[in-house]
Amino acid sequence: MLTSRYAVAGRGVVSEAFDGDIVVLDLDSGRYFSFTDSGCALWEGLVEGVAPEALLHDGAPYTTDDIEGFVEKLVEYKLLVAVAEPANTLAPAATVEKLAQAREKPEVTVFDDLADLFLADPIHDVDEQAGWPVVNKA
Amino acid sequence: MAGSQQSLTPMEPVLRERVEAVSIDTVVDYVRRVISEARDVRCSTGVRNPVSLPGLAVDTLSFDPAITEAIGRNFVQAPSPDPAPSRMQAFIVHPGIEGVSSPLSWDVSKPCHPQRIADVLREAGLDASYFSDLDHWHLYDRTTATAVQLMRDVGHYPPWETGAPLRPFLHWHYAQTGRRLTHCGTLGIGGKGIILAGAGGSGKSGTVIAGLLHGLQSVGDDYVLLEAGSNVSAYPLFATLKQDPAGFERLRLNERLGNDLPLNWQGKHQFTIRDVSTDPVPSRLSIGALLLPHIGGSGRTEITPVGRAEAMIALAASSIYQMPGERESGFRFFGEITRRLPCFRVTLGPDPAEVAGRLGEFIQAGAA
Repeated sequence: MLTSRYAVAGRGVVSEAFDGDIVVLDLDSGRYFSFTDSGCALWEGLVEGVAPEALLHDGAPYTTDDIEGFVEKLVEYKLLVAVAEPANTLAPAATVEKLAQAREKPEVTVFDDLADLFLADPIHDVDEQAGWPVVNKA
Repeated sequence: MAGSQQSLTPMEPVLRERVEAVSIDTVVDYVRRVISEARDVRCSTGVRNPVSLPGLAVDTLSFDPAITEAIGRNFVQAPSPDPAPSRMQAFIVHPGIEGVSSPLSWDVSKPCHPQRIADVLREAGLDASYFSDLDHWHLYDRTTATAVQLMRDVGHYPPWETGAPLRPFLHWHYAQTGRRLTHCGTLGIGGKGIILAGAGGSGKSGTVIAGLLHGLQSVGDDYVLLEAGSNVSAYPLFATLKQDPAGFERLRLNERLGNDLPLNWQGKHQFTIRDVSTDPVPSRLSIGALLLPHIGGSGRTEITPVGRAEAMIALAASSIYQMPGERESGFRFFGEITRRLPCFRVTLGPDPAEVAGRLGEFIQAGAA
């Protein structure tokens, strides 16, 4: 896992950066995600194809286990997928700088507010996996 | 996708004669056929109603009395724009009108993803949304700016249609121009203003109405048109306001509007800006801040900075999911709006006059 390359899971996963914070939205599920400071920096590196092990550094506020757990969650949430191509072994300078400044362990927070809206809004009351016009049971 | 389009031409005669349901293979032809039928409608019972909106003149022909009334009541008519506006023709039709066929259902044996359908339609210059319970369609041809709302019969539309008539068509048109229908409230003074974003129950609509009742202006609640030009601007589209019975009483709207106002499908009273303010609706507000209202306790209204990520989520959440299609570009647009504006949390006090006064001071002080 630590040497694999990852990519954004699909066109339904979009992100915006604000003052160092990142908001990721899964347009299909309606869930959105935010990260701690190290999580934001790791996300930036991972979506650039950098291997997780290349995002570890001396003095980091996280361990190898932490970064593995973080990547596992991103895959579990269907935000990232492992791809066959070789990973980059060097992180962009901006990412390295953000990692050096990070003080928190890498964590992801899931917000279901959009998902609730998605289910509550009958205009879009469809099952994205089964497809239109299969109506959600919720 | 190209394969799908190539298969459409030979299918068209079949579609015209026998196909009872629409699939991704036939949806482009179906949309074109319905729009063509609507454009050829010749029936004297329809009501023509011109709607003047920011940069857009809509000529509506409606055969549904309630939607006709809603079109006449719920829009804020824009002054004549300069330069000449874009034009849209909108037809609200149902079978029984000569030349209009019954709406087809979606072929549930061939489910597919909404985004794929939107892609196929967009490649053909079309947009569509479909409400399966009623076989209710919104169809739009971007090339000719022709919009068709097709329903099974008079009154066979989802209950939210009359609050914001033509909403999908306006969303599709304005998205082409880089502007967005946005689910937010607005307040302003002297051309400067704020937008208020948040989920239901956050106090957004109550704050807008409190402001209108106490001397502030608004270009709308629920749905307004936002533009991210050199400045962020908000333009009025709909005059509709809503408030649940508790808020209605708290704002003492019963003293102004009476106790007999019916509840809409959401269990809310529905009225218009004109019912609560005699001031004309401004044609534009220059937006200086994004505020996230939050119902507080018994203290005074407080305004404190909030992170842009949180503000972005509050602004984008409902806006994206209440407009069909265009989700990713919507996310980008609201990201841009959030980046340009200072963002604040507003903890609302219990007194509507105090809330309005505090927000008025905030806007006039130039913080907005």
